[in-house]
Amino acid sequence: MLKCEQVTYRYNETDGIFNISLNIEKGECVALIGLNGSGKSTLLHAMAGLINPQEGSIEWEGEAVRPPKVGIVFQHPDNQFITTSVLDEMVFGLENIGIPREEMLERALAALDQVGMRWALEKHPMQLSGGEKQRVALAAILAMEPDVLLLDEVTSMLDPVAREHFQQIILHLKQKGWTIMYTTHLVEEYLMADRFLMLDHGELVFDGDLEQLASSTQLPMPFTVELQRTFGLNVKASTWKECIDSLWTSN
Amino acid sequence: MDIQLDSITVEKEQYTVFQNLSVTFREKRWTAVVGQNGVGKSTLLEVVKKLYKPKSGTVTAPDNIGYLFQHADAQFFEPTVEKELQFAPLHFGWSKEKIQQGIAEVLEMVQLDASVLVKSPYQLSGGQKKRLALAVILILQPTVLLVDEPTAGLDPMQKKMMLDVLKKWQLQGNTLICITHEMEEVLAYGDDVYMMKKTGDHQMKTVEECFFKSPDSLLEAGLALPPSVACFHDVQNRLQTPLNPARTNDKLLRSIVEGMKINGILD
Ligand SMILES: Nc1ncnc2c1ncn2[C@@H]1O[C@H](COP(=O)(O)OP(=O)(O)OP(=O)(O)O)[C@@H](O)[C@H]1O
Ligand SMILES: Nc1ncnc2c1ncn2[C@@H]1O[C@H](COP(=O)(O)OP(=O)(O)OP(=O)(O)O)[C@@H](O)[C@H]1O
Ligand SMILES: [Mg+2]
Ligand SMILES: [Mg+2]
Repeated sequence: MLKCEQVTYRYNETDGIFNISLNIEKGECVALIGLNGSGKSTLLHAMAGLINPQEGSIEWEGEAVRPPKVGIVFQHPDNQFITTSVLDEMVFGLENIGIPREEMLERALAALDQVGMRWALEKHPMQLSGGEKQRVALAAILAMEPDVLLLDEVTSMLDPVAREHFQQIILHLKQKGWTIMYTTHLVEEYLMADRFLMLDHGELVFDGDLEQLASSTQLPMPFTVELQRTFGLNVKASTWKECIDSLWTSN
Repeated sequence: MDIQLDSITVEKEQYTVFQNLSVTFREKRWTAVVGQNGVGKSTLLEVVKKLYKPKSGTVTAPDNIGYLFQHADAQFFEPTVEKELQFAPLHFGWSKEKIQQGIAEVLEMVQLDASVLVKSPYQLSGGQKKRLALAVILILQPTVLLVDEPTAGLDPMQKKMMLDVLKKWQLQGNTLICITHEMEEVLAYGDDVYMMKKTGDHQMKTVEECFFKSPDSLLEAGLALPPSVACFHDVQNRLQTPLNPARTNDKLLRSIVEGMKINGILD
């Protein structure tokens, strides 16, 4: 279990996260949502052990959070890169956590294949396009196989098909029992989550599932939810196609 | 005037980004540039802005082109918003009065309150920063604006504000070329779509053609239709009757419901 107890991290009087308490069970997939500046990245950084809250504590399985148990993919990939080639970028993290040489390359290539970036092994990370950077940044953390995966808007620069692949990757990791928390401003990505946490001005203001989110907030919703509402169906994370199919067979 | 690229070939460190690319961007339109990661969208705009010299080919474009970089909102260097806005006009020798008037106009245009002038650019929220970056460009009164993924990372409200600002500016008779991965934005705001493909077989189509008349064209470019439009086509195929095309999810849903009612699938 990932346990946050009364966590406060303040940059100044008004900005930061304030008195956040929550538990995330092993194997949960949680979407962390909220407006620009609501504190999502700050909370993820605290959960990854990158910043130390002034108050409160964050633990994973009873121990203070730290890499590599908790892995984070940054909102801006440029902030994550430290080496001069894509391959080095992949290997660096694995070396740090003591993965044997033979296995390192295997893991690195498998992760790059997942995001379609094996072709770029020798490229300098800074020579990549925006979306390519984001893919490599994701692969580097996936290869480390953390217990808890924190993803900070990792699809913002991906093309639509890469976003679909990303959703497949997450669904696959969910099946494998990974604990995942991701932030996004793209409502279609809500559908991967079992649970939603919403921040507002650094405070936790919502904790519930998709149905509760749809009924208790005015937020824009994925198209399939709009469709379900229009047709008076129960709100759930089924695809629009499944909804249309069900309407057709019932009539 | 239109913007014309003729047989452009670009190499970056021995990597051929694209070859023999020719395209015309029509004036006063909103052209969305779409395509998979790495296909060369950002590079194309660099070439139009003449930041990057192609290995061969010619570019015909007006001189006064504004370019909103993807991370322009992380590159402010003045202590206050006001100084940031004054910087370029001062460089061009504008008078005090002209600068002041320009600032007032441009703040109004991008929907920022005059109270931000005394703040540090970095005190603004994510969406405000993006619009400030836009204001810094618009104050020089370009007639063409190139923007690289202007809504990436913005929350839905900030996104809409940014897009509405861009639309209003374009409708004043200006030309906008906008790179994006958000197909719903293309549908709601665009006039033309330039689809760049890994095969080099790039295509210019109107939004109407691209989303409704030949919806396979986005798939062929390795992209995807937004769920609302995919659903629209699915229902249309099942009903075997044309539905009313529309530009927003709300309206598409309405067309879908109407079609299903008329055909007895719903009562
Ligand atoms: N290093 C910093 N110094 C001072 N204030 C900061 C710093 N980093 C973030 N803030 C402020 O703290 C608040 C929360 O920021 P944070 O980046 O966590 O928000 P967010 O929810 O991730 O936003 P976005 O959706 O734009 O990524 C914002 O008001 C932000 O301006
Ligand atoms: N300086 C460079 N040296 C070598 N290759 C480069 C350089 N800059 C870009 N590239 C490559 O050129 C290709 C096109 O890059 P560009 O940034 O134009 O793509 P894009 O279509 O904007 O992609 P994205 O959707 O990810 O932003 C990419 O494959 C990229 O890796
Ligand atoms: Mg953030
Ligand atoms: Mg780009």
